Amino acid sequence: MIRRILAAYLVEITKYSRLFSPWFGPGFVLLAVAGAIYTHPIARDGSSDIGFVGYAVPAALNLIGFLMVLVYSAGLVAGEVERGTIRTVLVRPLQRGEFLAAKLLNATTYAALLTVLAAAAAWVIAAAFGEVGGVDFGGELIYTGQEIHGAFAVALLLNLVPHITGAAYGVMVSTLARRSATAVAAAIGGWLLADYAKHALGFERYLFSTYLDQSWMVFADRCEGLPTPFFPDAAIGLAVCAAWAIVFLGIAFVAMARRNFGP
Amino acid sequence: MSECIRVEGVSKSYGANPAVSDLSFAVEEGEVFGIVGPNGAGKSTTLALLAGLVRPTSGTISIFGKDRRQHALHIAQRTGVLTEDPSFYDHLSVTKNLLAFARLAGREVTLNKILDLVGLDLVADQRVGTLSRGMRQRLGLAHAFLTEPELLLLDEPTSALDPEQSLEIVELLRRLSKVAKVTIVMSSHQIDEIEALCDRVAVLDRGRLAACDRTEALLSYDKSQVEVYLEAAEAAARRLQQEPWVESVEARRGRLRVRLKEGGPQQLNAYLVNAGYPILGLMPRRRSIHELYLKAGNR
Repeated sequence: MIRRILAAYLVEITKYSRLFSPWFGPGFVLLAVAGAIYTHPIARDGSSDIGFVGYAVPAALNLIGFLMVLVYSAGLVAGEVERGTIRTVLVRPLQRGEFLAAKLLNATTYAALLTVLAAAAAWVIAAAFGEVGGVDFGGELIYTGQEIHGAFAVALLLNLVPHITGAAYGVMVSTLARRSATAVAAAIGGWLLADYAKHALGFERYLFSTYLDQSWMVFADRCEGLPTPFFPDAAIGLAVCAAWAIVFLGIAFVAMARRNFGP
Repeated sequence: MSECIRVEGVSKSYGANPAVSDLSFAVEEGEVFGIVGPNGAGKSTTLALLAGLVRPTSGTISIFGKDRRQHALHIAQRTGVLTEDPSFYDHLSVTKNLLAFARLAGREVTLNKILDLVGLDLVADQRVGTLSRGMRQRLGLAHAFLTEPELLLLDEPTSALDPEQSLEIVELLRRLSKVAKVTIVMSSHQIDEIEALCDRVAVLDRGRLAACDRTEALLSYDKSQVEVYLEAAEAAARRLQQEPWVESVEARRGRLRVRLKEGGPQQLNAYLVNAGYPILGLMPRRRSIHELYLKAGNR
């Protein structure tokens, strides 16, 4: 099973890396990171500019990056159904669940790619125009370079989790639609509606996308020299994201198993 | 010869609309089995059911002696499928498409041989999006042949092909059946193709099996209708019209079309010879699948 999923995943990567449209995501994310210089100028004053990285990465990822992950993942299954290629794929020795797992891996790779690109671009800009060392306050070193870089890595990894849940959500919507445009509209519309209503209806703690900012808020505190911990709050975020991912994937697997791909 | 496919009481409905109803038939190993019927008869749905793309509402399908649903992987490994209007990744080349599907099958394949077989060798590096419909159909066939299957499920294999290409494909399928003993289930609107290739034929009518028999049985001679070639056709026709066992006679350019109420070609032959009409030729009319097809469509 693992071998077949990996084979399908490699085919997925070959297919989508040769398309033009998926590259909009990395392009927009890089532009957003570059644009952060104007809203969060690098001081060139000899002190650490790690705060720029902590500002630019979530600024690029948590709206633009997240939306691009939704758009990309929502088109993955519906696009194959729309083009009819799903029939050519599913007559091969590949179970529907394995096909779906390969799609989820593909969407996860996309989310990870955007995350890595945003982090790398922000880091390069900060290092090129300023300093990316530790955090000091009044001449006293609060966090060494190694400590703050470690905190950045943790924030980045924790931030990837709601993105992956978003990818699972997009894939789920994709399995329910016949056309990629419908799937994209439903995925984005559904998420925006939930995000809009979450405070009014008081379910923000239970919505996975609420936790997009959580790790970056902790990291921003660290950049200010504050000793805010990632955990236990991050654990709640991880649990909520995992629960939603299980629900989304469960629905996707059932929908995929029950669908007909006939004439 | 053992059984390759067994379909038992299979029905498939989309909402309240039945696509196929209570379908039962079996296909032997190495057999070429044709499915014919008018548009909407359920040919493509039947093939999609066999390919596992559509799940039956009721009934069971077993292939290679194993249940279709429970052993989907095992069956897919041994089966090649050509779907109706096959779709591929337009932005990838012919070769890259086939390699991708071979990878999904977990097989190493020699593409040159397959490309040559279906006549795609000259466009191997061309993007699929730039291919004509006929070329895409060939690619669909290449995809079906990719892993040297024991069973081929082909939905209209020669549609979109010109007559020369169609003949090549028919010849190729014949070779695969006779030499490699590949079992073939195919649907087609080309009755000539079905007649030429298929050992047995199923005629579908609005999702139901209207007839299923050996091709020669379906194409058997209709002994109540006889064509006679003779010189004095008009005179013989006048004489025959007076006989009580003759229903009707039609004479045209040295040829008689006789419809008999009773008796058969032998009785007619004896009568004409005794009456002094030298016969050049006499043949009972052969039923065609086309007739069954039209009958099913008009029912």
